[in-house]
Amino acid sequence: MTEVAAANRLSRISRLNLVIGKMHQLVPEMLEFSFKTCTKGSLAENCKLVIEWRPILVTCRDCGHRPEITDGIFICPECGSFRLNTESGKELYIKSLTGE
Amino acid sequence: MDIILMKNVLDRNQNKADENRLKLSEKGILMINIISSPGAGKTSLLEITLAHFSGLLKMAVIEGDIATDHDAQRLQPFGVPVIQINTGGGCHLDSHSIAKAFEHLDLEKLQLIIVENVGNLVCPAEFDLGENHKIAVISVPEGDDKPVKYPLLFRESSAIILNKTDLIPYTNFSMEKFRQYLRELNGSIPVLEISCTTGSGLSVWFDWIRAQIKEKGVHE
Repeated sequence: MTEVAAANRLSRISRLNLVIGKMHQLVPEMLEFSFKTCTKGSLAENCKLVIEWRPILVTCRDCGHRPEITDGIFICPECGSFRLNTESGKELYIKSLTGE
Repeated sequence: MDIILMKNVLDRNQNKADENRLKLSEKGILMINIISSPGAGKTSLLEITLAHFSGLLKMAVIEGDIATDHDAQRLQPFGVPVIQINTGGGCHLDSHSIAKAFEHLDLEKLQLIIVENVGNLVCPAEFDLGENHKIAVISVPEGDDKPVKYPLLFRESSAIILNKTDLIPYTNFSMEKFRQYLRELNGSIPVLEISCTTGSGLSVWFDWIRAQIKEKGVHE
């Protein structure tokens, strides 16, 4: 973030947009606490952390159905197959930031 | 001012993991990352595995622990290079610590590297080391519901080892429930039921390793 701020001549980072897939075992409160602690005294002090959660989406290799997995059961609701490709849900990236 | 970044939070780890995997592939080495809770039997499994493949495979071990070299000492009698990494409080190994361990190993002479990760079912599942396979080791006294409590590990692993099966009669562990949870989470994953104490089921584990070595085309 420091490099990005320097390259764009930012003196303050006010908002960070994170994208996190639901497969990750991240606790938002703990992430916010750690972020607040790490950024204290930096350009990103008091920066707002915005998390965009991505659902677990899979494609069934047997019938092509594309369900969302919400209950932790990785079985195709259409055909009962467990041969599923994970399409989304493992994201963990910084999408964008806002600064001035 | 809004700045679009699209930057992977773990890219520093991922890039080095990709490098590690490429290096292993070039050298024709299979690397297995063993993950479990503390006390599930990772080191016992290693002792048995090293003893079994001694003279058959050229092996090395990378030991991850928060502190001490107790596990590395346990593995000394097997005459296999053991690199101890102390994370100093860190709850998982990362790809950079593995790359450093590689510097202390003669990769030209190896066929199999077994990594014993720090005892933890959460963070090690998140950090790619560059391994070919993650193996989750669960032991009977931990309970039959471990898969649903730590879904990522059981989705990411190539096989599950259920250790301490000799203790099943003395606990309320339900094999039926355990298998049902695994079916729901990862229906295609092989489950290897073993006991490092009695030796039961170990031949299936040895066969699994042999099959991976063969599939990967590890050099002679």
